[in-house]
Amino acid sequence: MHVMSTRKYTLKELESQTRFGSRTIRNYIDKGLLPGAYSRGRYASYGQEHLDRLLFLRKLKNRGKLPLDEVRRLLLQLSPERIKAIAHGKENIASIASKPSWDVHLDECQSDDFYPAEETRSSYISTDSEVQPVPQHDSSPPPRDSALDYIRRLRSPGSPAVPGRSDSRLRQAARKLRQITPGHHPPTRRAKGEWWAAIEVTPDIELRARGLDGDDLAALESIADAFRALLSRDF
Amino acid sequence: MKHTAFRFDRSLINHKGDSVRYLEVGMEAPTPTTDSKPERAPLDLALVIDRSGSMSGAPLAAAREAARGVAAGLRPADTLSVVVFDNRVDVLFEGLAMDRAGKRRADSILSGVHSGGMTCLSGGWLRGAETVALLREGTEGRRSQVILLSDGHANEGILDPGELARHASELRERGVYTTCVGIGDGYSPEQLAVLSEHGGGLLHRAERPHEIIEVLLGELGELMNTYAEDIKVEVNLPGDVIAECIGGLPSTESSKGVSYHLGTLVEGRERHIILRLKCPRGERGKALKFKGRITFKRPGSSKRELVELKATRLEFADSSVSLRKQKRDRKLSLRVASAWQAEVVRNAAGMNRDGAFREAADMVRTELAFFSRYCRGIDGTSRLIQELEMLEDRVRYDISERGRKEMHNYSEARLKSKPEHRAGFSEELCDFME
Repeated sequence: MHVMSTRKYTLKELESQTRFGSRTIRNYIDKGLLPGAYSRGRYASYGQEHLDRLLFLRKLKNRGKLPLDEVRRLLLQLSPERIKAIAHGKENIASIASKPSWDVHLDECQSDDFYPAEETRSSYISTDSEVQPVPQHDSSPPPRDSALDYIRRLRSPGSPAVPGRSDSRLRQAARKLRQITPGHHPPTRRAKGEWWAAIEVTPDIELRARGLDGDDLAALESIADAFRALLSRDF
Repeated sequence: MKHTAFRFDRSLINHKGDSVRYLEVGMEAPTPTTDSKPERAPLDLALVIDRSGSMSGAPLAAAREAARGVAAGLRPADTLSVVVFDNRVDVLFEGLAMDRAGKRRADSILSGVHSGGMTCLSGGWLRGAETVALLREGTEGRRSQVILLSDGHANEGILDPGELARHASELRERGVYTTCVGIGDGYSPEQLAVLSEHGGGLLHRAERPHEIIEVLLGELGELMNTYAEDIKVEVNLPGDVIAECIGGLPSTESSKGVSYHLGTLVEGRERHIILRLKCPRGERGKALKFKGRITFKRPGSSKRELVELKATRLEFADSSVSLRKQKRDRKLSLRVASAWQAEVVRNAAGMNRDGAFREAADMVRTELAFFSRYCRGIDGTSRLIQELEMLEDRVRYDISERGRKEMHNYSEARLKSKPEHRAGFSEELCDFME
């Protein structure tokens, strides 16, 4: 029987134990790799499942780069017990992760490094720390757009920065779906039978349907896959 | 930089693992002489003033006076923009050159500011940022600074501190910096702290209306004497070393290591950051190597300058005796203790505000146990320990909002070398815990 630990963690404790920064952890939550925090605010708390998943993701990351979809699939397929076992070294990750491809996807999640630094190193010779060092120029590429462009994008109509409007990813996805299915009127829902199928889209969203079997169930799973992909895209 | 430092409090670690060591990255800016002081880069300053209903009366009057004082202190090459906000955002004037005519005009307009409705903090802040961003578009050599004054808690626009932090970071990367002044006891430290921390600035506190003027003019003085902006400290950690920055500075991870964002450094001043490192197991006699660098921009410049730090190391001790008897850097250990205590105070204030009284006391008690052990044999730490003992008792009960804000301010001063501009201000921690 799986006994759920009641231990709670702060974001700092998760950072400390997993070596992921707080923004990376929040990005993972946004990307659906982690469930949301149990509570909000500066002292938001997290549970054992968050720690186990993060340690699991750390093991995956150390092994090589995996496409985000494949990471999600692994998280969906594996039971919490197996994730925990791999996270804490009781099971070898090689048993479940296929050889990594070289698409940079998991690293996208920690893309606060939007503009990776590429300093030009000159012939500066490191001296004793008490002696005055010679400053060199660091040629990190600047952000793609200016401060003005960034602010105007934020303040444009429909942006969450406009007072009173906050556009969640779900609403953006709904808008996008309406755009790609213009004029489509879905058939009236009819309940068939008692049996409900639940298909997880992200840790916080699931699709539920009653009375489906065979091909219909497979179709619903495809819709869940497409929905998941839509949520992960930028709009 | 005049001096830099990259060193550990102790250099030997246990080969069995789990040793905790503290790594300091320090820097000191030179103090230019009158002859060598370069021409200050022109400053485009936006003051963003909360005029919501709660600011009516003395606070808004003081903010107006403070803004007039700032206008008087700027030079003809500088510009001033003033944005006021409640649930509506209004630009009183933007990009006004602070020559004689401009100062007269600013003075006249500022005298007409009145209070209003709700608080759209993000709207006011972004509009202020836009005024200075417009002035830097297509130009070089200008500095862009927003100073946001608010007594309240945003209840419209972007409310989520995480999102505010992200936008403040993006603007910082694009050369627009944000500092905040929290007025009175009602402002949201979460919202203002993230805007300033991630915006490359500081969060100042002005409890009484007259302090608004002191703080704003003090901050203007800091701006005039800034040596470095947007300072980043990058540390390359050996595999399996877990690092935590005391005080929790904004940070980003990359394949090269971790970058911490420090904000600014004023001429002649020092900044330090302290990392708490948990070390893995290893082989006796082997070493873990650490590299670091500091990058920063000079005011008005878009180029980042780079200072490499001399690599340092931790060695796995060859015996438990050598581990126990190793030398400590006592001065550094005192700085570690001061930062650690400040971090505990800040966290306790936050938990007390959330009503988690028992949890706050438990947290302080746990930290105190480790802290006391660390402080053994280090002069100057007994007072820090006594203050934490007092804190453990006090956080079991609801501390006044004023007390919690001052505790937060106390921590900011120690963790970020934040200067206190309020004249006659007491720095005793026991005074705040009422």
